[in-house]
Amino acid sequence: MLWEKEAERESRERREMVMNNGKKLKLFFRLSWKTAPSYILMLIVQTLMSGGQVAMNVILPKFLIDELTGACEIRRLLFFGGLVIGSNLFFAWFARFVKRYMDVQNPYVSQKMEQLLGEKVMSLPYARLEEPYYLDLKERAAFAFLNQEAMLNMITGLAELLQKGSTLLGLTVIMVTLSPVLVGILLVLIGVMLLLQRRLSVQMQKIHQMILPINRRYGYYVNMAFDDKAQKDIRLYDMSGMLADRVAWYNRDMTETFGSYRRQEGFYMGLYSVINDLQAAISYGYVGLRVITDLFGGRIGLGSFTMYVNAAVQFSTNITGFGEAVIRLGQLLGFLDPFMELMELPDEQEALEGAAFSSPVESIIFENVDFTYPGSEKKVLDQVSFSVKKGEKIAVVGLNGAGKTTLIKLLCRLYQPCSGRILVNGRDIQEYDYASYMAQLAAVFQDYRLFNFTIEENISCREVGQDGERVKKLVAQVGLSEKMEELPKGLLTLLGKAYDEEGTELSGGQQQKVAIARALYKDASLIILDEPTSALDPLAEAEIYENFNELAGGKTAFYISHRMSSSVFCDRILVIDGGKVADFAPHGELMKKEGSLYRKMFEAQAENYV
Amino acid sequence: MNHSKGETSYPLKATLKRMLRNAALQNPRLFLFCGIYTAAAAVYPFLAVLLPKAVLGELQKGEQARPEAVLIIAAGYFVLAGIFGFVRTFLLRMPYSQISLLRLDYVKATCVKIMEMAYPHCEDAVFNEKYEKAFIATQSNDNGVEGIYHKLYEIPAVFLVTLGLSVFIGRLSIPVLLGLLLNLAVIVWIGRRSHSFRYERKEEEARQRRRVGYYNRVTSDFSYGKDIRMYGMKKRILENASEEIRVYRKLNRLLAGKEYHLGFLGLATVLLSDILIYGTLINRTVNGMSIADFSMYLTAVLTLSAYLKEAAEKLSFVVNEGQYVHELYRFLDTDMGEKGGDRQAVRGDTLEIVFDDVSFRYPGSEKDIFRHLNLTIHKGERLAVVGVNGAGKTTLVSLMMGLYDVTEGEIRINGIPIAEFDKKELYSMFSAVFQDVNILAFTVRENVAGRLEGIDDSRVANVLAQVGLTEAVNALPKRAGQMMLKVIEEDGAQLSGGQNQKLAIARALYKGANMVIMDEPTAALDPLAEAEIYENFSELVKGKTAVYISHRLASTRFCDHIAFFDGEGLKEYGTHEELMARRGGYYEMFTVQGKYYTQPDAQVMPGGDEKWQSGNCSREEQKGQSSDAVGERGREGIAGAEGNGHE
Repeated sequence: MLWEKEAERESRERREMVMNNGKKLKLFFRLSWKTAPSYILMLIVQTLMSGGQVAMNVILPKFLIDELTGACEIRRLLFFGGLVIGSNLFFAWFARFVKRYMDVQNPYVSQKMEQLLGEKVMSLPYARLEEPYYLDLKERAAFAFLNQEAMLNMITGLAELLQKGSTLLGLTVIMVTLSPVLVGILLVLIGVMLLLQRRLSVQMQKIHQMILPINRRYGYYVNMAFDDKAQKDIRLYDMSGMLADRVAWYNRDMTETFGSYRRQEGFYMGLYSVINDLQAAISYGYVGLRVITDLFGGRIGLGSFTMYVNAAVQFSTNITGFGEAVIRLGQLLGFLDPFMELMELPDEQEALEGAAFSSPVESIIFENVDFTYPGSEKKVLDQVSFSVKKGEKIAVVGLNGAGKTTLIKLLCRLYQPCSGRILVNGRDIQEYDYASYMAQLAAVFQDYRLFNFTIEENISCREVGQDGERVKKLVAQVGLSEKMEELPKGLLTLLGKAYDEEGTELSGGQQQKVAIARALYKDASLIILDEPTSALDPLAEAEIYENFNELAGGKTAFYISHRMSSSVFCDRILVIDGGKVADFAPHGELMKKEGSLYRKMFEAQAENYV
Repeated sequence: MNHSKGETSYPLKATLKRMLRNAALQNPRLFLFCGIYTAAAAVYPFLAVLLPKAVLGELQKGEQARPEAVLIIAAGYFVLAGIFGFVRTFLLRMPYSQISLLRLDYVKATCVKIMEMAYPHCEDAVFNEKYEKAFIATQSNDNGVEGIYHKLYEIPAVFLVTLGLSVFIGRLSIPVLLGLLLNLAVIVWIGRRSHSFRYERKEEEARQRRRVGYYNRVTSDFSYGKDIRMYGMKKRILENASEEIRVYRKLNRLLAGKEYHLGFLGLATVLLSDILIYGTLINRTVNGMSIADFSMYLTAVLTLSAYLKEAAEKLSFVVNEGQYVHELYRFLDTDMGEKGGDRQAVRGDTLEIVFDDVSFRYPGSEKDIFRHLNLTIHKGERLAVVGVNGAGKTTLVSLMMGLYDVTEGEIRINGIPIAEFDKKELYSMFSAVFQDVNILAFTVRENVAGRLEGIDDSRVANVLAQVGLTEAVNALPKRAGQMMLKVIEEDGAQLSGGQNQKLAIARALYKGANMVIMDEPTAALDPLAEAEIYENFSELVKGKTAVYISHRLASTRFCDHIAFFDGEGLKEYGTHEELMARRGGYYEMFTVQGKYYTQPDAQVMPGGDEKWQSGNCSREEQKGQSSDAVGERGREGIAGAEGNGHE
């Protein structure tokens, strides 16, 4: 009884898997249709054609051989010979025609799919981007794209599957006219073959599950060995041996795990080949008997003999190919799982009420804000309440990990508070239309990123030449004019070399200045700087501090820095300690407070200057 | 991927010979497998060619044909084909992983080479491009080293079959054989022509691929997420990407079109060859050849044309991929400065470092970082190195540790030119702590010891205690045996930034090298964590020469001497007091940074437009670009600084 249940469960699982694959295929087709409709049409034409090709290959020789063994009339021989040659020629041309199309379209569709992935990532609620699960999901999705070329293989595999399918259909029609019994026998053998394939693919999946984590680890150590950043440490601490050992160890582990599969595969595929030969033997035997006896029905001619054995042999090779294509497609769909899962995630939702946020920021109020990162248990912000008026410059200070950056992320709507509210101009920020709210904010994040556009575009975030003068002024204000003059193309120089080799790499400090200029350029009434000067030397840093209030003008500003001296510039200092607001007062007041965290931190740095 | 003009040729034979030698050395059994496989795979296709002939031969006897004979032929075929087919299939797949393992040593050797070659290669922007082929050679199962091994395993069988069938058909009709060969030759020619057409546009293609790739990377890179949302970049990036993809497709159209048009020549030879085949066979049959032979030859011709194509593909694969393997061998054989000289490390003494008239510029750069630099770091001295961005502070220590070679002049350690040291010995003399800590996915103790075996655990415990990490490490489930990071094991330990930095110092302590170097080790830490780290320094540098680089000038106060660098090299050298008295660059930097700490009651009022502003007059004037407002502020700043100076 037990094993019955087992079998039942297994078949249910299989059904679910098939349904799941069906759903994934549907999504795949939807995406392909979206990127290149002609592509789907081509698949259909190609499918029809390959059915026709088989019919020609199998049927035409029959007429030729009948003629050769019969009347042997020259004109008819020429006609049938010509037909065979003509059809060969046509299909050879068609194959080239399809190849041209596919050579253009395959990479196009694949790149478009990758673009869709990118679009998806850019449209997700930001909070997802910081969850390790989604990072891992994206990495796996990208891995399938980059390393396995899963998308490309998927496309070609699908074409192959359809072709083989239609070929099989044509062959079945031909063979049924001779003997449904033979078809029945072949189908039984094919059933056995599919069973073998099924077992093999189960093995394959099992092995794949085992390999994946090993491969991830292997990848990590190989990447470390190649990682520029680690190379100094590796040399100075003589760590090449330990890394190389791990690389070799995981590689061997992976290969040997795979080896056990390969042995099984050899065995199963060997059996597979034997059954294939059995099919051929049975076909030749049976059809041969049909020529010389009438045991199984009316006799047939030699032409028909050739046709039927060809059909039978092609039937079994095509079945093999079909089965392999199914398995491969199943595997590929498996590889594409993460991609599909990612594409199905909901986008950032517009606030339901979607009130446009039009006026500048007048007031910011945090009301008992609690926050815990998804999947974590540690409260990062705990009952945070404070309020800020228009035009105030606020320094946010605290130890590493106190929750300063998190606070900023909540204010930027990159995350939502778990409880409590953040009010801007008296209204919960979640209620504002997302785009119009973001338009009032400008931030330089700790891990800010610049793009491989021109420097001007990086600052203005729009087409070159729209507002060159203002960009130029800002560049001067953050102290980059000198550097710009050094560059042959000035502000129109491309940043970075990843997009174009002509691009220029700026130093960390210079990049920070560009990021600051970008934030200042944006017509926002709230500006946020999170450790904006960590890569600057003391002189450049002082310059930014000292110009900052002038640059920020009447804007409300938040400023996070470990250099305590910077907080001296600000109107009030928000001290965060373990997720709670420890103090919120001007510098002078806090310094008078004996034993306060702020004073401790300030003095720790000030000590050596006195 | 075809071989073509434009690419330099390489010694194919020597490359393959070396590969075979490697295989013979590592797994001679593979040759046995290959032999048996070849025998089975060479016989198998002939069975399929002979089967129709045998059956048709019997059937053609008309009334004399015996059903038993047909069945015997079919059964005989089944037995033979079954055996040969099974052996062939099994032996093709079974050794697959053993072949994969032949790649392993090369993977390892490549990694070791990367990690041990002279450091400048690591920062060479074009290094990866230069050796891209060498790296690709070991990256996958299907290409490069392993790809060739798999193909070499299969090639003998393909050759034997091709040869056998060619002789078989050649004996029937030379023109038919020539027709097939001509067709093949034209196909190969078309492949090469369209490849060289592509090759001529390879830079254009690479550029376009790179551009499309850039957008794909940026859009899917989560770390860009915040800025893309904050600055509303999504639409713009998508539009740009679409444009790049469109351009790429246009290029592909051109390339595919070329191949398609050349293909018509191929169609012509298909036509010719088909006419020859069918013409000859029909003609022979009309003139008395049996239909069994007709069928057999037709099967043979079709099989041969498939095998010819396969042989050509496999050969050109080996030739093309061989290029990659050749590059791999070249990479492994080239001396990349991994060894250096022969001299052993200094034992039982700390170091004296002498920069003797050293000039340096980075490879490929035109800007001198140092020009005729002379500097001596005495035994046991603690030297602080400070200065503006880009003044070469990190370069200075990189040079003395042998990470870079001087362009001119000489650096001597205890009187010995550093070029004479063995690289590993040279590195062994320095305990260095950098701003970016690279904690690797090894256990805590392995991270501290920098090795897997022979770790002195009591020493590990000792240094962890010295940096104040004992408690944190003991809180981990496996204590010092706990894996770090989450990448390898899910319960891996993740320490805070400050703790990571302490671990790096523990590592430096464990190493206990002759000299200590610290390059901005606290830049990313909060003030209290920073202060804690400072406390560890004295332990680390006890009795040793030490160089300390920092932007936070005050933190250098425990040093004996200060070397101040500006964009033009070493500008000032002396004790803190001496340099402060000199009122030069160091003094200026120190006061700029310190002034806000030293205004005890912080007369900085909310919104007070003038009072918060401060600056440095002298520097701005030097630069000659100060605005009036800055000038005003500057004077005030100086006054403040001076006031504090007297305190």
